[in-house]
Amino acid sequence: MRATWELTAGGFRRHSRYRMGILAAMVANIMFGMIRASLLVATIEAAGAPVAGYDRLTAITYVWIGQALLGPIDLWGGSGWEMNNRVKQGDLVTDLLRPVHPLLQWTAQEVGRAASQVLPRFVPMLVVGALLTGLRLPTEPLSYLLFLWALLVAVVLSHTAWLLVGLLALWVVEVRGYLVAMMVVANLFSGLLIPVQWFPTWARGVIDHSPFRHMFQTPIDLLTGLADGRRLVLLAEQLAWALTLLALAALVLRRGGRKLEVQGG
Amino acid sequence: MAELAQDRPVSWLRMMATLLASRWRSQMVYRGSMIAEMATQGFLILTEFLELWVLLTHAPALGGFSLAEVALVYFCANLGFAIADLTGGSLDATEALVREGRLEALLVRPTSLLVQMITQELQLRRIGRVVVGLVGYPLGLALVGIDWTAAKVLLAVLAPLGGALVYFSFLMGAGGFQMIVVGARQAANAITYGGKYAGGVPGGALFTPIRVFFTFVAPALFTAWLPMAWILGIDTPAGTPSWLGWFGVPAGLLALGAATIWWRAGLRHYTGAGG
Repeated sequence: MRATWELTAGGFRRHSRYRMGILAAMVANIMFGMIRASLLVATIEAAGAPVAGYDRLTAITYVWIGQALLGPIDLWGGSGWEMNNRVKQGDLVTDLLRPVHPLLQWTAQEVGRAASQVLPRFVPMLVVGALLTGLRLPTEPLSYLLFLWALLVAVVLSHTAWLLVGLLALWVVEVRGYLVAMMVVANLFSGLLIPVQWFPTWARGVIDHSPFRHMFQTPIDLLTGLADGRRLVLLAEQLAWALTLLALAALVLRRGGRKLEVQGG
Repeated sequence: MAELAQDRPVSWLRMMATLLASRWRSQMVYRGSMIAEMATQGFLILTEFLELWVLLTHAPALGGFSLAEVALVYFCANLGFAIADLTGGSLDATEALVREGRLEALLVRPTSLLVQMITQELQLRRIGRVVVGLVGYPLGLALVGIDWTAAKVLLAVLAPLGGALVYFSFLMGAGGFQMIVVGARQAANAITYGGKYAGGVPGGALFTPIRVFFTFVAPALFTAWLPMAWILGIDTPAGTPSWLGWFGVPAGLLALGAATIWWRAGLRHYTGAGG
């Protein structure tokens, strides 16, 4: 327990150092947020009515929460690329030698990293959004509490999914293609580029229950009010996906660890 | 002059051709993998269009453009970007060179840094994007149903060329910026990839400040939306008339001038660590 806590704190300290990087990322997030909000608002105005429950202000709020979440949630898979390198370069052995289960080490560090991004990136982003275009956030405290929980699970879920792709490097020589494919899927179906509710009905059956939706759209829905009436269902489904992927990752590590062969060292 | 000629026995064009040929040979060694990567890159352009398609399942038009017309704008901008990225894509990775101390090795050689970076880091897989643009753009032009005149044909040819100039300038400016402010690569993304994103959609759908910024500050909207609006005869918001679409190439040249200044400033600012 103590080790887990220290790893989490270490992840936090390590990633709060890059202040210039945080500022630079925010500049990019703001620009993309403005473009994405423009497109959603233009669509709603051209449609002449709210689209799939999104009126103008809901759409804008959705965009800014999403841009803010890009700080804490590793949606683009930095951890997947890193894991690929760790396997290739043999650093994975260091993780396996430590007395804490590797999955717990990585998850703890990731949660620490995510926490370090909440104050410098998540909160200022919402402030910027509120100043630029206005926002509508819930007034009851329960929404925020559930949101924080969903954020934590989303952080772990996204990280684990990327780990799994990165760990493919234990079996195949070049993982690059899988990582790029994962990036495309995560961008499209997580609710980053377009709300999952906006997809055509025939596609929603799958998209709405996929793990990708729970990496991003689920926490957003809790703040925009679109989850109202089925908050517990969403949270339960999200948690189930996170636990499933964690179990899968543990299995992959066990099978892969038996196959892993490291030269020298 | 004679001394200079002895100093440089090979003209820079010959040098560039030699370097490019060597890149081609070395990357084509892994032929299967290279073709797969080219296909993936091309496929990425198509999946990125899905976003705009979903938007248009809910509305008849976006910024006054129908689905086919939006696709035309998207492929025109992406063709321009793909050409720029093929040559200038590595300039956007200058920061890695600075961080790892590899920039000095390039600086001491008797050829300009720009030529070296364009040739050395040339990524053949990016050709996949150019191919998709070269197929998608003419296909789009044919499908939207245009009353062709000589002027429209000329503008349709000029538009992606202007786009290539504009986006190349963005990438080059980003490279210069990365030499000055290390650790802030993402901030430059706001212009390079933000510009590509905004340039690939109808500008009429953008909030006014964003539209004005990407027209008069970073001219991304010259790369597709303005020329296509002129060709299709679609109204554009006040302040950004569609005849501006004819000024894509001049805007690109102007941007290239500005980017050159940035690049030089970056080079002057750079201090090696004596590696």
